Formats: sequence, structure tokens, C-alpha cells
Amino acid sequence: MKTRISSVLPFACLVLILSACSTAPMKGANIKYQEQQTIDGTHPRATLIIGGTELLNNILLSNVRVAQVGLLSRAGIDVQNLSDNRYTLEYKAVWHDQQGFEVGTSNVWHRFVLTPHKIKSIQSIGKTPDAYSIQLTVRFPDDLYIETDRLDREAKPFFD
Amino acid sequence: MKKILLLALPLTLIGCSNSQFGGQSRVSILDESGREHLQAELTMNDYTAFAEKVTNKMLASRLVQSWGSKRPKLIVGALRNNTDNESIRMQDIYDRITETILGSGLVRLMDKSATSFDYVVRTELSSTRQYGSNGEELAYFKLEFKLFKIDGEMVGQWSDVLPLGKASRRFI
Repeated sequence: MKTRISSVLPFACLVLILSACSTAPMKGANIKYQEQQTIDGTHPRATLIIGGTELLNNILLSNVRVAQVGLLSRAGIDVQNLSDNRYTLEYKAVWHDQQGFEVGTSNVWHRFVLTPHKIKSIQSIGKTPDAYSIQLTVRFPDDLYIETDRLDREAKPFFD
Repeated sequence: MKKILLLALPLTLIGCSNSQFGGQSRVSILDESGREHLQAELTMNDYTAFAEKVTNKMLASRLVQSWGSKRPKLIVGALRNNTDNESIRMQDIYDRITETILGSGLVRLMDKSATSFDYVVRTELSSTRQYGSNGEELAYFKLEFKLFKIDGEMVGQWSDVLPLGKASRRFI
């Protein structure tokens, strides 16, 4: 029994040490990176998400405005390209009520282009009177055929 | 032994040809809000995008704001298909628009046969198309809303454009 414990113990210690070393930050829409300066997460009625590490320091999401239009809420968010690259991106706006439940589910991704240092102002209306806060995600375009093409290119580099 | 090898070879080849997507059927379930296109034509999610963006403009307008909680009676007139594609499902676009307007709770949606109403929305879908010499295609679709009062006065107009581009064919 003793020899068994002594053989298992070093492995257990190693696993514990390795898990302690992996200080990967928690990921999630409501947990903001403190070191991330390109997302203005200060507005209480907006959750802004950059979907992709490559975009993280190259795209600025800021200047959030949420106002009332009649009985509905309207949000405006500026997206700026901080780099010298030309980006084709897409965004999706999802609205939540005051309890945090999603409302008005018929939202789709909208494609847009950001030339170097361009600012695009995205506007969205919460299309039901109980829409309260907006969740905006910006990412590189992603669909099945774009992904298939990418994998094809990687699999057959000679034909590119 | 030779027979076994001959039998094994086709089986091995079939095994190698397995795609990494979707298993045997090669059909994948897509993201419901994705914008995949195989042709420079509208998909169901383009209808939703049109409804979302044009109603964004309409509901943010000063006129609609002034309605407050009055809930005027509104008729959404039949959609006019002024594109070069007769097979576009206009009823689906119409349904996406009425779903969005009705969900806003700002108006009372009336049937087209109603005799008592305050406003009529006329909608039109139009397109332009260009072709390149190597199979490139460029298509622009535009959805337009026009809001009229009962006496015929136009009080609002909003539109949105969706450009679709198809790249040249690759032969190798």
C-alpha cells in the first residue's frame, strides 16, 4: 500500500502544479478582461464582444449610447478599425429584457467592411417595448462554406 | 490472397474518401442566424435581415416616435416584386416584416381587406445585376418601405440595400 501511494504521489503533485500554472483567463460574455482596453464595457445596458483574438487589439468598440425612441430603446455603438488592414466583419445585435432574458430572437449576422482606421456606427432598435439591454458581437465572417474553403486550401495547398 | 487484396482495396479507398464534415450525408445543421449563400440570390435570413434593418429605420423615425401608445391602425400592403427573379418568396418577406412590426406593439396591424385604418405601408423589392466574363456576378437587392396616410399623403420612406457578390470560378 505504501509503495502504491509513493508512486502515485509525484504524479498527483505534477498535475496540481501544472493546473496551477495554467492561468488562462475565464471566458464569457459577462466577464471582462481588465487588460483589454479596446472594449468600452462601462455602459450598464450594453455587453460588447469581440469574437476572435486576432481582432482583440485591432478593433475598438466604444461610445455606447442607449436612448428611448417612443416606447422602444435604441442603441448606438461605434466600431473602429485601429489597424492598417482592411477588415470584412459581421455583427449581430441581440436584445435582453431587464431580467436578462433574450427578446426578439429574429436577429441575423450583418456584414460590413472597415477600411483602415474607419469608424462605423452600428445602430439597433430593441423591437419590443421590454427590450432593455443590448449584446453586440463583432467577428470575422463565419459560415460553413468559408470554413470548407479554408480547410480545402489547407488540405490542397498546391491548387491554390 | 489476391482476392482478399482486391476486395480490401475498394474498401480502403472508400474509407479514405470520408469527408470531415457532416458524416455520411454531407449535410450540416447551420447556425440559424448565419448568412451562407450558394448563389447571388436572397435566402430566408436575408429576408430577416431586411425586415430587421428597414424596421430599425422606420421605428426610429420621428413620426413613429410621435405615435407613442396611440397604436394607430396599419395595413402592410402586398409586397411588389420588381426584381429580375420571379421566384422570390414575397410572402416570406411580408411575414418577416409583419412579425417585426407586430412585435413592437406600436401599431395595430389590420388585414388588407380592412375598411378602417390610419396608415398603409407599401413595400417594394427591386434588384440590379451585373455579370463578369469569368462567371463573376454582382447583385444588389433593395427593399423600400413607403408609409402613406389614409388621404394618400406619403409621410415616411425607408430603405435598405443588400449587395451580393459572386467571385470568378476556379477551374483547378
